[in-house]
Parts: sequence; C-alpha cells; structure tokens
Amino acid sequence: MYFSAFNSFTMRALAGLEKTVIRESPTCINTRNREIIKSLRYAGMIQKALLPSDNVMKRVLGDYFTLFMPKDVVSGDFYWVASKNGHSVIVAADCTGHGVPGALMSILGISCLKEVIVSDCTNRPNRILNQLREKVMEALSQTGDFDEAKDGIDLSMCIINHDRSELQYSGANNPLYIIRDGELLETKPDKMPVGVNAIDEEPFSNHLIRIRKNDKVYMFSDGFPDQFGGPRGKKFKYRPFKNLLLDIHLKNMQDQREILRETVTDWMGDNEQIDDILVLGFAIT
Amino acid sequence: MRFTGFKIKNFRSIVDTGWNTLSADNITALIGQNESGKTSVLEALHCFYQGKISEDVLRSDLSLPEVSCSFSPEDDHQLEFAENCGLPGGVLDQIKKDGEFILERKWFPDLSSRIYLAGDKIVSVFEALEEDNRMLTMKTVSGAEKIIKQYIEKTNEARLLEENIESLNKEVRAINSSLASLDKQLKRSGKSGEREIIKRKLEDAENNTSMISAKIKESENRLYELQLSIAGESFLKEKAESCIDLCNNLSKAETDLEDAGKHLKSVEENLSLSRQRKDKRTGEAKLYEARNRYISLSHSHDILKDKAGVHVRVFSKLMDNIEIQEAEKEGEAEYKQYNSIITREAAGALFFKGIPPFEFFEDFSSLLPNKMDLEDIFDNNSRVEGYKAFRNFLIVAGLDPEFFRQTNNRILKQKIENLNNEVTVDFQEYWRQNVGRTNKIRIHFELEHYDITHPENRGRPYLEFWIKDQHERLYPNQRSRGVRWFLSFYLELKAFARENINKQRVLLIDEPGLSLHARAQEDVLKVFEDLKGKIQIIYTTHSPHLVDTGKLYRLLAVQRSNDNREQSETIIFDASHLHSATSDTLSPVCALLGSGLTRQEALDRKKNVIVEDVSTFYYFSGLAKLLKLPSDISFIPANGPAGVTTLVSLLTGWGFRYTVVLFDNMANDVIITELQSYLQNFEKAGPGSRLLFAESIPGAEDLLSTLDFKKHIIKKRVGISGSNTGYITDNNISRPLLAASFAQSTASGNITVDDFDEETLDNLNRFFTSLQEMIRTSDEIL
Repeated sequence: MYFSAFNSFTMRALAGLEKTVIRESPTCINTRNREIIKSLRYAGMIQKALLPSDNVMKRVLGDYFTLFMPKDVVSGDFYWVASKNGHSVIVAADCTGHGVPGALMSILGISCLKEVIVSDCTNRPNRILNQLREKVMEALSQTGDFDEAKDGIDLSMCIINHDRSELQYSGANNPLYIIRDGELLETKPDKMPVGVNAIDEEPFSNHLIRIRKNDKVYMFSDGFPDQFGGPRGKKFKYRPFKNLLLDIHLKNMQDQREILRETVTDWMGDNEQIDDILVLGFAIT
Repeated sequence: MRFTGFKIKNFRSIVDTGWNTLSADNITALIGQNESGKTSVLEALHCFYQGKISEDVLRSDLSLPEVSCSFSPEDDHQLEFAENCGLPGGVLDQIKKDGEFILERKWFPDLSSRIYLAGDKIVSVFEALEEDNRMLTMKTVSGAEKIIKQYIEKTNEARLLEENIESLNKEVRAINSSLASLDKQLKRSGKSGEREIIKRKLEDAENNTSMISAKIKESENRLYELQLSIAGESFLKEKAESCIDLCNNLSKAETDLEDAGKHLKSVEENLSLSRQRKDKRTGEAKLYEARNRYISLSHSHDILKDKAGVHVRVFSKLMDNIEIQEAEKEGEAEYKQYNSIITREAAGALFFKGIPPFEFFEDFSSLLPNKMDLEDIFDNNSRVEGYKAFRNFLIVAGLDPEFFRQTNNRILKQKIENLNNEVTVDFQEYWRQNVGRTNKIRIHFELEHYDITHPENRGRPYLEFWIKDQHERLYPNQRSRGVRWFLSFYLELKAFARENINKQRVLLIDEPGLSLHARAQEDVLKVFEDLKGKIQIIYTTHSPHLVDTGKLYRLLAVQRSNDNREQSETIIFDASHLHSATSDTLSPVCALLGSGLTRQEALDRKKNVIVEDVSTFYYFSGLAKLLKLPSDISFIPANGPAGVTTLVSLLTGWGFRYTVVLFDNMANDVIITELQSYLQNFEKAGPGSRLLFAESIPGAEDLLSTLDFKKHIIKKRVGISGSNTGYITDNNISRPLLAASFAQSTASGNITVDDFDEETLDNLNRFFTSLQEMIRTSDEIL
C-alpha cells in the first residue's frame, strides 16, 4: 500500500519533470524544479513517517540511537523495529541506490517486511529474510536473467529473546557488531542481498548469539565506512569504524550518535556524501 | 426406535449368524451370491416380526429357529410404555443405560413362537428373581421339614418319658409293697441278728425309693418341658405340613398341567389328521374333554401356585419368629409384589409393542392398474386388482377419496390436472431415466365415464391411469417391467412416508430393481436416501449400482462357509470384516472398485497412509525414500479429496487400518467433516484408523521451503510470496508432472536429503514424525 502510493506520487513528479524539460521554455525550469523539490521533500516526509517513531524505538530497544543521514531528500536506507511474540525484531537496511530509486526500494522493503512478519509465525530471522527475498523478487519480477535489474536490499536483522538472553541474527551483506567487555565481536553476513542474486539464491544463515547485559549492538549500512573523505579523500573503511565504536561504546547512546555524526561529517569535509548513512546502536539491558 | 442389529439361529441355511450391526444411517445392504442366504436373512427378520414360520425354514436337524433383534430408543421417552408395567427392578434402568434392548423370538416344535426380553444382563435379572423365589421355597420347605422332624422327635421322646415314668412308678409301688412286708417282718422278729438284716433291707428299699422318685421327678420335669414345647410347636408344625403339602401339590399340579398340555396337543394333532367324519367327531369330543381338563388343571394350578407362594413366604416369616398375623401380612404383600412382576416373555410382549413394524416389500402386489371404478374406491373394495397401488397413489397425491364425490366437473378436472403435475414432478426427481434422449415419462390419471361400449356400467365414473411420454400414452400394463416396478416401489414407499410422518418402520426388500437399468437402480438408492430418516431399509442385492462405494459401512456380506454350498451354513461378515468374504461375495464392490485390495500383497494391513491425490503420493514416496522411513508404510493415493472417503470406506471395510493425511486447503474442508462422520459410522473399525490434518500446510509441496521448492521442483528462479501449491495453481502448472519428476529425481539419487535447507528438513521432520507416531499408536491398538 505504502509502496504503491509512494510510487505513484514519485512517478507523477518525474513525469512532470520530463515534460517540463521537453515541452516547456527554459524560463519555467526553475519554477518546475522548485515544485519537484517540494514534492520530493514531501515524499521524504512520508518516508520518515514510515520509519518507527522514537516512542516505538524506545519501547522495543530501550537505550538506543540512530544515525540516519540520507544523501538526498529521500533515502534508500531504512530501519525498522517491532515486537512479536515477546521478541524484539530489529532491522537496519540499505536498498540498492539512493535518492528516489533507493526510496522506492525502501518502501517496498518496509512493506514486504511488515507483511512477512505479520503473516509468518517464525521467529527465525533467516526464514524471514528468505521470505522477504521471495517477495522482493516477485515484486520486481526477478528471475535471475542476465539482463534484468539486480536491485535488492542489504540488511541485517536481529530477533532478541530477552527472557532467554538470545539474539538471532541473519544478514544480507551487512554484518553485526556486538561490543562486549571492550571487545568487538563481528558476525559476518551471507554474501548475498535480499533480492535476486548473481548466482542461485541460497537460504540465509541463522546465527544464535548469547547476549549479556551491557552488550552494545550495532547495525548499519555501508554508508559510513564507505564515505570518502579525510586528508586523502579515501574511504573511512571498516577498521577505523570498528575502532571508533570501540572508543565510544561506553558513552551514552545519544553521545555516541553525536560523535559518529561529527566524525563522519568531519571525514566528509567538502566531499559529497556518496550514499545514505545509517548506524543503529542499542544496549542490552 | 431404531432397529440396530440381529442374530439369527437355525433358519434355513443359517446356523448362527452371531450379532450383526445394521448401518447407523438406516440403509443396510446384504450382498452375496445366489443361495448364499441373503433372502433367508430378510425372511428371518420378517418372521421375527410376524412370529410365523413354515416347516420350510427348518433345518434338516430340525433345530428350531431363534431370531434376536436389538433396538435402540432415540430417547428415554420412547421407553415410557415400559414404566410401571411390572418389570423387575433395575431392568428398565439397565436398558436406559445400555441404550438398547434385545428381543428374542424362539420357535417351538409346534411352530408356535414366544418372544422374550433378552440380553445377558436383563436375563440375569429375571433369572436372579426366579432363583430367589426358588431358593426361598427350597429353604422354607427344608425348614418346614426340619421343624416337623423335630416335632416328631419331641413327641417320641415325650412318649418314651411317659412310659419310663410309668415304669418307675410301678417300681416304686413294688418297693413300697416290699417295705410294708419288711416292716411287718421287723415287728414280728425278736432276734436281734435277724432284725438287723431286716433293717438294712428296709434302708436299702427306702434308698431305692428315693432314688427312683428322683428319676421320676427328673423325667416328669423333662416331660413337662417337652409337652410345653410340643404344645407351642404344634401350630408351626401344622403350618409346615401345610406348606410342604402345598408345594408337593403344586409340583404335582405342574406335572399334571404339563401332561394335560401334551395330551391336548396330541389330541389336536390327531384331530387335524382325522379324515373320517366319525373320527373327527370322536376327536372333537376328546379335544373338548382335553381342553376342559387343561383349563381346569390350569385354574387349579394357578390357585395352588398363589396359595403355595403366599404360604411359603408366610411360613418363612414364622420361622424367623415373626408373629402369625404379622407374618401373614408381610408374606401376602411379598407374594403380591413378586406376582406383579412380569415374566421375561410378558416383558418381551411389552417391548415388542414399542418396536417399529417390519414389512417385506412385495414387488408386484401393488401395481398401478389401468383403471379403477370410483364405486370401488368409495366402497373400499380392497379385493379389486390394483386397489393398494391406487390407495398409495391417492396418499402420495395427498387426495382424500371423498374428493371424487365432488359434482362440479370443472373443479374435478382442474384438481386432477394439478395433481398430475405435482406427482409427476416428484416422481421425476427419483426416476431420472429418459425415454430416448430427453423424453421424460409422466404419470397421469383422468376422470372418465363408461360409455355405451360398457352397457352394464354406462355412465359410471372411473379413473384411468397413463404413463405418458412425449410420443406415447400407454397404460401402466403396457409399460416395461422396470418402469412398473419402480412406480410400484415409489408409490409404496412414498405413501408410507406420507401416511406415517412420525412413525418408523423397517422395510425389507429382496433384490430391488432386478429388472431396472443401472441408472434406475441408482435411482432406487436415491429413494432409499430420501426415506432413510423414518424408514430403515435392509435390502439384498447383486448389483454394483445398488452399492454406494462411499458408504461401504452399509454392507453385510453373506456367504456359505465353504464351497460345498448345499450343506454348508450361511455366515455373515459385517463391514469391518469384508476382507474375510470371498471375492465372489464381494463382486458388486469389486465391480465398482476393481479387484479386491485384500489380494494385493503390496498393501500392509496396518501401515497404510491414504493421501488425497497422486501428486501427494509421488511426493510422499520420494520423501519417504530420502528420509529412510520404514519401507512397510504404504502410501495410497485417492482420486482427489472426494475419493478419500471412498478409500476410507473401502479400506475399513476390507479390514485395513490406515492413516489419512489431509492438507489444510479449501477442498479438504468438507472432507474432514465427512471423514469424522464416516469413522463414527464404522464404529467397530474406528480404532486403529487415524486422521492427520496438516494444519497451515496447504499441500505436500509446502512441506518444502520455497527455496527448495524452486530448486528441486519447479526449477525456476522466481519470487514466490504465497504458498508453493498456490504458485502451481496460479500458474496453471501440472502438479502430477512436477510430483512425478520429483519422485524420479529422488529415486535416481539426483536429490538427496543434504540438498534440502534447514526449513525443509525441519518441516519434514516434524510432519513425518507425527505421521509415524500415528501409525505406531494405530499398531499398538491392533
């Protein structure tokens, strides 16, 4: 539903832009652009509305932060949380592309994710990702043909059973970091997206992790470590990103968010933000 | 009141059928070859109701027939007729608890019969009652004899004591006389020595006298005691003698009555054999005399029986030291209560009134005539040919004969036209055959008047019947035997159903529709189905068209115990033991379902799994191999969900045990309810058979994860957001082909269990563990 509404809205906006370029005089272009930007901002508002509110995030995660920095007005990254059967479901996702195409994919992702989680009774994230992949492939009519678009979603999903102190993780290209006693534990993802794969789709793996109080869990898109910048205009990279998290993990969540934001902004300097940035952190209480 | 089962002994070729349960849905079919004894079963049941048999039904060893039938009241109200009717305490409660009662009819050498309330528990109540009475009589008579014996012993002792006392008195008198003599001698004697001797003698005699006197005293005391006791017991002794006399007289009266009964029968038989008038006159006189004697003895016997009954009870009380007035009061009351309890035979007669009537449907006794005079209708002239069929016709049409007294010809004609349409529409609901391609037959009657060609009846009204089709208008007699039979059958059954809306009956039909086309035979089944609410139907058949393969629980297979058919006895197999019947007996079933499954060695008697279709069969076969399930599990495919019930019927009937696997889809929703009902009908066969409902799994393909389904079954990389079976349906793919290909891949080793993802393995493990568990518990029951 969200997907179709958003899609229709954006398509109308793009069609309007095309007509403007071809048929209208150059003097009208600025006016039209303003309208388009206005429309995109509105689309961005809709997209934000689809993301869980602070109240919901607090209810599900407790102590948390999100660093959500879309490259454009609308974003291809999204995060999503829910409570199901006494379990907490947490997703940090990065859809192919950014801007309008990424946003369209993110709407598709949220919509499908909600469908899968509501309709299915499994508490295993890998099975949810398997099903999510089916929905995405079906929605995008992906059949693995050579010449078709390979759009998909990279994401990490955690399902936490607080009663049993268990965290299940399944990842599509996006890893999971847990910092415990000053040590960063990385759980590697399956190297395939939620969507058609280059080769045959394989089932996602399920990782069961025992969690402890005060563990800090981080889920993120590749926007932060892949951001170009610094003195030599290079990627921030994962090693420094891990070190950064290790440095700040004992601080309160909002301070961590602020340090991450400042760090990436400083790193970017005058460079353009190349992708949407999403880092989601929360503490096990 | 439902007729629930029967047991027949010594009837034609039947020695003992054992108990056979009738179908719970009121339609029972007896199948079997000619001469197997099917009709004998129907006749025996009819005789049970009628009470009459001919010598033809007796077996060569002249053992007498016994037919027992069980009946089940729908609720306790249907047993109200038996309340306060003198049944022994606990009998009615037992019947209510059991939910059924048994009536047993026994025939005697004179071919008369008696009906008894039967059943082990009920019989034991009656027997206990009789035993109590017998024991009371025996104990009382024994007590009476003891009392008499003691009385005689006391009398004898008293007499002896009297004699003894007399003797002692004599002795005393003699001693006294000798004392007087000694006393004189002492006075006369002067010698001291002599005087001493006489004095000693005197002392001895006095001592003797006092000793004897003491004995006399003792004897007199004892005698007094005895006399008191004898005086006290003389009344009891008289009563004891009277009690014994009455019991002896009763015993003699019973013997006399039995002899008189035998004599009466013998006189009756002699009279029936008499041919000469003189012999007949003599015989009649003897019969009169014998009958009078029997009545007189019977009367005397009854009086004696009552007297003895009361006396025994009174005397029993007296023995317990109860005062005579009280004993008489209690004894009479007890006997009155005992005498008010009806016998098992009387109870049988009482319950017999509560059972539905049994009727033997007679094929052509009620054929619709070509015409019927109204005069015969008004006069209720039942001897006129076709009267019964005409009466049935009026009932089916809902018409009172008085209607034909209507003088307004227009009203008459209009009403008749309407009725013709109504009856035809109803008839056509059951008779689906067409004459030619589309031409349906119609039942038609008209009011006519005799014309000049019938001068003797000229002007008189009559009704004329026709069986019409588009091309022809023929009298009933001109129509085929099949149509006439069906019409007769239709009218008879519908008339009964209309006339007896709230009554039940048992209809026995021998070979219905022998002359009917297969389609019409199926129509007969349709009529049965329509009427089964109020009419219990038991019919014999050879025809596969009169057997509903979906309801094999209705069958009772009748056959001879061995191939020597003339001499062997009839045996009956109920639905759960059809596998024991021969294939010849089961030919109607085999004709419908192919050869007998029991002869298929591939099937196990217990570990059968009925699956809804051939696709599921392929998947299960393939998966069973991959998962290394025990090889003795047989998967049996049904021909779609509707065929599952047929297979269930078939396997149950043929003695197999099975587990039905049904997936959670719309097509199976109805089947699940039906199956539960079917398993209830197969009450005996129920244990050991199971239903595994795979909740939330729409089909066998959904046991595989979507990914495995794509990889190993459809072999396509495509997004499937719904169920796997839904994808097949939505894309119009051949399920059986996919399933067969999967089975082939598993057989050839192209797919192994390691190729499945954890979701698939988890599903398969859970599902097949449940299945094996069901099979295991089923085995344990068996």
